[in-house]
Amino acid sequence: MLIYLQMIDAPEDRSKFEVLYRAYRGLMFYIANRILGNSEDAEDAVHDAFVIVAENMKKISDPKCPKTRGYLVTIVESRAIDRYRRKNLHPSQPLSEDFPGWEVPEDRVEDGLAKCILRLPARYREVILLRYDQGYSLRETARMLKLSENAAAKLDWRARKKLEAICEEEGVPL
Amino acid sequence: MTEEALKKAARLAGAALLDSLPPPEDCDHVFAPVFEKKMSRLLRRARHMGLYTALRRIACFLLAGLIGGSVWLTVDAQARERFFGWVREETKSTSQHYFYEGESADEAENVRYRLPEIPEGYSELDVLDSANGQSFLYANDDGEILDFGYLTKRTKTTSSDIFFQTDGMEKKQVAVHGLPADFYLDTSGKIANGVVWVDREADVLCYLSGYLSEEDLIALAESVTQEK
Repeated sequence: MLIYLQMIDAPEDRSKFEVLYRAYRGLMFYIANRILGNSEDAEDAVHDAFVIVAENMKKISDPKCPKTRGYLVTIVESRAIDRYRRKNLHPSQPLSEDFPGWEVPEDRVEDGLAKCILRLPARYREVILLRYDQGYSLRETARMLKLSENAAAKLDWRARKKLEAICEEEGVPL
Repeated sequence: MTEEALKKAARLAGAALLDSLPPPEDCDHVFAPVFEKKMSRLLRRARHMGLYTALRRIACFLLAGLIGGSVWLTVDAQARERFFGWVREETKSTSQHYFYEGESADEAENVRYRLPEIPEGYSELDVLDSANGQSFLYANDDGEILDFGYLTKRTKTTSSDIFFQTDGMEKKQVAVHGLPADFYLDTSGKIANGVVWVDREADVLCYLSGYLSEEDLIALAESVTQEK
């Protein structure tokens, strides 16, 4: 049993997590704080995000590559929005799926479809980026967003429908 | 919209999102001590994440859960022994079920136990709280787990049951502070030994399991202190 346990507790995984933590905790706090506007809540969101990251370490190959940074940004944004929603949930509040999250200036990208992705509400953008930019499976995406697989599939479907609607509004050919 | 077009656009959008953020090295923040403490625990847990997951899946001599009495229809009624308010029953699957049969407390006992010192090389991995007790998990760099826990009397709304899987282990009577205790010795050389005893003053069941010798495990059991 011990040999098996030591194999799955590979030393590179433990160091990878520590590298991620040291390198990105400041950036993750910055994003969470911009969304939540409160240092204490933002720190809690960063912690929530690292709990998810720790549970999915096998999915990370290089701690310093842009893909990993994109993944961490998506996860902390998702956790911050969840915290915001839980603290502010009220019948008149918009649903979390409509929350804008981190806003990217449109001049950052020229491609029409990419511009439309950046206009998506955060929850939809997150699932699109995790699935189609980062390449995670539906099951992996569900775990990262703390959803059931069924809910993640529905979210993916709704995100694509919303994206199609934005493209139609903007006259972006599909 | 084709999947290929979506992937290409998602890559561009993802890159634009990252470009809109400040460089990580410019994002300084002094985190609160409470955050540092929580992260310190998570970092320790991450060091043993695979172990931690596997531990929960393939525990050998370990708290398996607090289980309702109705589950225990397969108990061999002959294999039953009493320790003050506590009873040990051996199930037909060679597991040991300890449960409180004395008078229920009105509310959960406010007693806490600690290991004042843990063996060299071990660090705290996690603390699991239940309605009637706590379990402290420690691990060393070889991935060996040391588990200390205790369980107080049941109350009118909570049960006090604990289940230890002891397949392939030899049970023997030992003494902790001169009083009878159950020792489970691994004969395969692969899994942790364990000791279960009752603090008779408070009628609290305590247990320890770890990759330590009988002598060391009993010495550790005798070092357990109650926090007032």
